Amino acid sequence: MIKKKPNFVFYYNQFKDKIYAYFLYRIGFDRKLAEDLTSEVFLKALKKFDDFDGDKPFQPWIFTISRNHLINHYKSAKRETALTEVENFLPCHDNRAEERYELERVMKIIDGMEEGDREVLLLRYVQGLDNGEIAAVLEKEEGAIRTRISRSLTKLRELLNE
Amino acid sequence: MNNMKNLEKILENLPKPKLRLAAGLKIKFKLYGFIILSKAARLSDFSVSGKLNFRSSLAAALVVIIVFSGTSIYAYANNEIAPGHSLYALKRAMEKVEAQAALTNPLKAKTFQKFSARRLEEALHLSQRQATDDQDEQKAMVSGEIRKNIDEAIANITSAASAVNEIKDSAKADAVKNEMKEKDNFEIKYLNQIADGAALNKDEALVDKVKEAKGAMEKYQKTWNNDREDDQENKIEKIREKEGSKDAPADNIKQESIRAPESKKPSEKMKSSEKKQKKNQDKDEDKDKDKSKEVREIEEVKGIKIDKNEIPAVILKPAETASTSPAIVQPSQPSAVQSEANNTQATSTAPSQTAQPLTVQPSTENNQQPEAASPENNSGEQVEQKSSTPVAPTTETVDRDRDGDGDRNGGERDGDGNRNTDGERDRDND
Repeated sequence: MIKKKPNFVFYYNQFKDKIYAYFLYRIGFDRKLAEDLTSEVFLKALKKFDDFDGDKPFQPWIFTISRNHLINHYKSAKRETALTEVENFLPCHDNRAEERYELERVMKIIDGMEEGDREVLLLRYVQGLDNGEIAAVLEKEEGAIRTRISRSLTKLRELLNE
Repeated sequence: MNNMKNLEKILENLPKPKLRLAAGLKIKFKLYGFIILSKAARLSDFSVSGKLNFRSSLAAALVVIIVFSGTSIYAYANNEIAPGHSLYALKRAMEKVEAQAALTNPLKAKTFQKFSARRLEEALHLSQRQATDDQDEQKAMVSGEIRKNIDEAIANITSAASAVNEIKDSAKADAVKNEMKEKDNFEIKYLNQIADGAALNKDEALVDKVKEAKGAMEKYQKTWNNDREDDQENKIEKIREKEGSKDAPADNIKQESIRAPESKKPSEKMKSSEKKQKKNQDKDEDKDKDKSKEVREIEEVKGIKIDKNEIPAVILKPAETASTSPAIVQPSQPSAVQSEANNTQATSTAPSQTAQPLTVQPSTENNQQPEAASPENNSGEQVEQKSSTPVAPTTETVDRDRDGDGDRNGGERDGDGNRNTDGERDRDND
């Protein structure tokens, strides 16, 4: 039984926030740039939507496009963000200031980590991809991704304990 | 481990910012715009591909048409494609189309004639094949086909004949008949060849069939010949009607019909007679002048005034009248003006004179005589003058004859060259 491929707008509604967050974390929480990059990624995905196999999951496919697009963006523009807008994305609970402070710190540490570690951690814990999907996006073995995530967590912990 | 679990929890609790509504709508708008444009582009692509499909299908159709038409032309033009050939049905279908395309009767006649010849050619081809067949069954089958073809040929020639009969224009009908007669001769040759083959094969049924077909062909040829004769008679009747003269003898009308394109010799004769008559006219002119002088002298003596208009034009200017004479009538004969003058004279003359037989006096060509008729009406002296100058009464009657039939009588004599000599004899008598 051949599944009918859903409309692209359906996928957009489902993944627009994840892609936006992915860019936001990767470009230093520059909201406007993240929106532009999100828009560009979805347009690029729409152009290639005919090549997308409907039997396969959409999430790894759109994240692969986003990643490649981000790499191209890095090549063309210097990273200028200094995480000045991180605070704007943190939850505004006055009674949980400690937690807020800790999240801000974690975000800054992650932002300062190596690109590979940061990417794996964000994909795994922020965007919520499983190891297999991350392996598909990064075009690596699932075991390698698992190891990489473990090592990245260790590094993050070490950085947090410093 | 606890630290690791706490760290994972912390990471999972990291803020997951959502796209702003305005930004989301903006992106959606862009996406929809692109979708619409891409669909439009796809539609245009479809139309382009549709055109390509149309072109390819058109090309395929053209190939089919070319192949089909090539095969059809081959089948149509090849006389060796006879009954039993795989393309024979195609050939007959083409012929049906051609028969339907022939709209006019001459075309129909020619088309059916052509089909008839074709059937006989096919029959001849079959008879040649029959000679090479070893088995009697095959020979019998081929013989049946040949007879069938001959029957069809006869049917076609019958259709052609009926088409010819429906042609209203007699000239066209004659032309078509001539063509058909020539082609019929070819068909009879085919039939003779088929008959020879049948005789060799000892196929009596086929021999009988060929005889029957030849009889039919010859019958049509005869009927066409008869039709031509009938046409000539019809022409004569038409000419009679045109002239409106029931008294006109058939001989004159025959001459006119003979003058029609078919007969060249009479016209040549006419030309030679014309030359002779011109010479005679030249000779007669002098005499005419003298006679006209005599007439005037008589008038002056008797005090009779004659208008110049009443004097026949020939007498005044014979050369002019000769030039204005109608083509049908011999050139030496009086012109239309002269004939009118003669008629007026005829009305003015006594009935006894008009009742004189036309053939009594053979000198019919002399144009001078009618002038003498006018003075004759007035007194008995004129009758004496008539007797003294016998030219006048004779010419009067003769001129009328010319207008009516005297010319043709003279024309008949002209054929023998008697007419001129008659005129000379008359003058001699005078």
